Amino acid sequence: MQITTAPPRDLLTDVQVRDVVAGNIVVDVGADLLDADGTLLEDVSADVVPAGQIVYGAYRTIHRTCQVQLARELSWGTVRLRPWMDLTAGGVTVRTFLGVFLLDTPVRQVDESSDPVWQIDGYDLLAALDSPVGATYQVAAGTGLQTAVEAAVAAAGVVAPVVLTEVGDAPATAEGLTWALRDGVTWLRVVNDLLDQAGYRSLRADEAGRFRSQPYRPPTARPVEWVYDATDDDTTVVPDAAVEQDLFDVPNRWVFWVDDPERGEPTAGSTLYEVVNQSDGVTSIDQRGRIISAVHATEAADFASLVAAGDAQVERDRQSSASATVTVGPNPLHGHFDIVRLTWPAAGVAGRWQVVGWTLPLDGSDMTLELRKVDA
Amino acid sequence: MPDVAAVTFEQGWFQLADDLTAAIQVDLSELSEEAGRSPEVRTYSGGRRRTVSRPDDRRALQLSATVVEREGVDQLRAWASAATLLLFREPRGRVVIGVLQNFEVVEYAGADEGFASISLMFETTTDTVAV
Repeated sequence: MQITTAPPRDLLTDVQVRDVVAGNIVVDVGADLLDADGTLLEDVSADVVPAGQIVYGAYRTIHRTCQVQLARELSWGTVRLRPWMDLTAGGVTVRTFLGVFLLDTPVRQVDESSDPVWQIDGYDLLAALDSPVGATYQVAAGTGLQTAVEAAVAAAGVVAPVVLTEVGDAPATAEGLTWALRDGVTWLRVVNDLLDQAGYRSLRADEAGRFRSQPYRPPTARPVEWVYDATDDDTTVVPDAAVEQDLFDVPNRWVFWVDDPERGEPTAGSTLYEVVNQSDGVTSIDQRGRIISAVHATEAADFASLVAAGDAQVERDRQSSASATVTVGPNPLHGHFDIVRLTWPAAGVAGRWQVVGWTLPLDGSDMTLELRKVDA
Repeated sequence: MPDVAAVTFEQGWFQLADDLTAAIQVDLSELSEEAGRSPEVRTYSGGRRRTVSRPDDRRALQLSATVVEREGVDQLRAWASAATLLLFREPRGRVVIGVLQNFEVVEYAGADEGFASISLMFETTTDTVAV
């Protein structure tokens, strides 16, 4: 979730922002044009057609994409577009950036009765890293995580801030890492390997065009960022949803091991980590009456990283057992892996959910959220 | 004695949206409303209803009025030039939030009818609220 009082909303309070999102709103959209360094060039809002959408998927390679319509031609290959949405209620306007996008060559829609409109597909800045390294790439032993990630981003030719929270002096890799040319890796893979080894989330590009990551924390350990309560007087939950519970393939035993011949046979407490869910919840061994194992080979640098990566996988597997798609009023503050509380007695839905996808229409229509259950 | 046309004035008041301590009263001779698209009313769980509108759904009030005091005309002119956010309370009791546009003034030679007549458009920036 975007921080409610972060710029450009830093003159508002958290309560004001939340009240506006739930209020009788006027929805406006526009866009800023940025150069390849992220510097503001021009406000092109007058040429933005209020149509299209922003789509986010937590498990997609490129998390955010946009479909935007512009009534002017741009230097499609060099500029970046930063769409925004304003919600106004009670004289208070909440502006929210919706991402910074690289633009694909658009389709020009020609209609003799009106001015031409370009239909544009845009991809967030992860797309700039999703290109082959094209050489063998190495990170020397002892290189700090921040330094290593910034170096990879710079080597990819991308100019954008890298914000890693809670990053200390610990090296990204104790023994050095090498990505061979023949493996055909991308810069994004290099960065995500570095982050994964350190127990960090995969890289994301935030709403303002910064690369971000933070140490992985399971959804159960993260606070609720937004509440959707269908019983509330100010609810924005649309009374229409699809809720699904799929337990068939959910493991209840996990084995993680380090795939490195130089470190010998996998050994518990060193290069082997096992998690067993004996009795917790409907997917446990006791409840299912059988063991369903999942085995994962990793390249973890040490046992702590192996445990962190293993626990993260366990959380992902367990939360994937229930999913829901709900429609709510436009809330452009949604971000990456948000935690929401959904209370909806009529649909038999309650508790904490992680947002793994959303679609925000730019015409002010209600948005959809794809949710995974957090609580077991 | 010549016939005299009877004109019933209704009163309206302009106030600063963030300071309601003072108001400028005008005697309305004409008030019409140019409606844009009506805000969409959406229904959510439990029957909760709210309006969701686009900026071009905004409405505009076209009004002609008489202002008695020179100070009132000067203040309205200043608000119009600065696009100041105002409240307008109209005779039926509605309060509308918006800004003054197309402000025109004709000053009277005599003082009996007030200082000046004005015409303006008041473009609403949010929905109206009943009071």
